[in-house]
Amino acid sequence: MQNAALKQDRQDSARAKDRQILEDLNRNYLRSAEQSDVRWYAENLAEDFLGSNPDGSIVDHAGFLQRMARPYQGSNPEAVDVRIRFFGEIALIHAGFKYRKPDEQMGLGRYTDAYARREGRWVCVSAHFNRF
Amino acid sequence: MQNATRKQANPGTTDLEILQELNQGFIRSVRMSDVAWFDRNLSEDFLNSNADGTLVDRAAFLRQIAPPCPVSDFGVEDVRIRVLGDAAIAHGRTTYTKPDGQAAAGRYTDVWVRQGGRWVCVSGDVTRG
Repeated sequence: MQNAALKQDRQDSARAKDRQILEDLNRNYLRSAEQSDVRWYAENLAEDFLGSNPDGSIVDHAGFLQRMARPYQGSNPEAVDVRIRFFGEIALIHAGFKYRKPDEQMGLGRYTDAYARREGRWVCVSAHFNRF
Repeated sequence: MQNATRKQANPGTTDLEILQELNQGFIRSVRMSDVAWFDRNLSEDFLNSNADGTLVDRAAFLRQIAPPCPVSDFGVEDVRIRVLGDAAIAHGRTTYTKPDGQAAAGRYTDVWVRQGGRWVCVSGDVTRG
């Protein structure tokens, strides 16, 4: 019985740690968008990453890095209503976001990012991103 | 879906083949407002990000699928399915005709997870052009 409780404690602790890691990744994903931090994306996107854009296009790892290198169209992006869910070695982040458009108006969007645990670390394998 | 059910039970069928059929079933069921198909193939904790920016759970998604599909000629192209262990991600481009007759396109990303020996959809995200 004690062993079962200990095992559950360890699982809960590991899950809490994973959640913290994904919260940090999610924050840095947005920060890197605003700062055109291509290096962060190069380090944290999987080689087989695919990104779905608001215009309906889809880009691979290289195409996404090229796009993120351009100056961010707006400022102060902020995630809202962030929900992180785990499915074994896959985690999904569902979130809305708000940002300041170049004309100073508030802009809204939503995204779903998928992360996979590979070789002991979480890497982003998919991003679906919408602006409204 | 009956075909997909048979394939899910057939050990000779690859995961990719099963997911390709489920992906086609998803598109067909949007076109046909087939709530029963979604009821069978969405997980209990399914979440869908709609094209208008709202996030809905399973019950709300089933309600929104029930009315007749507001667009015609709804189809899919450029489907890319990646199997990542016990999860899979399906990307696709949708094509359709708006009520005013204009051709339009969108995009979606669905995430599937193997639960209890079968694939169920846990997440959808939809963009409309």
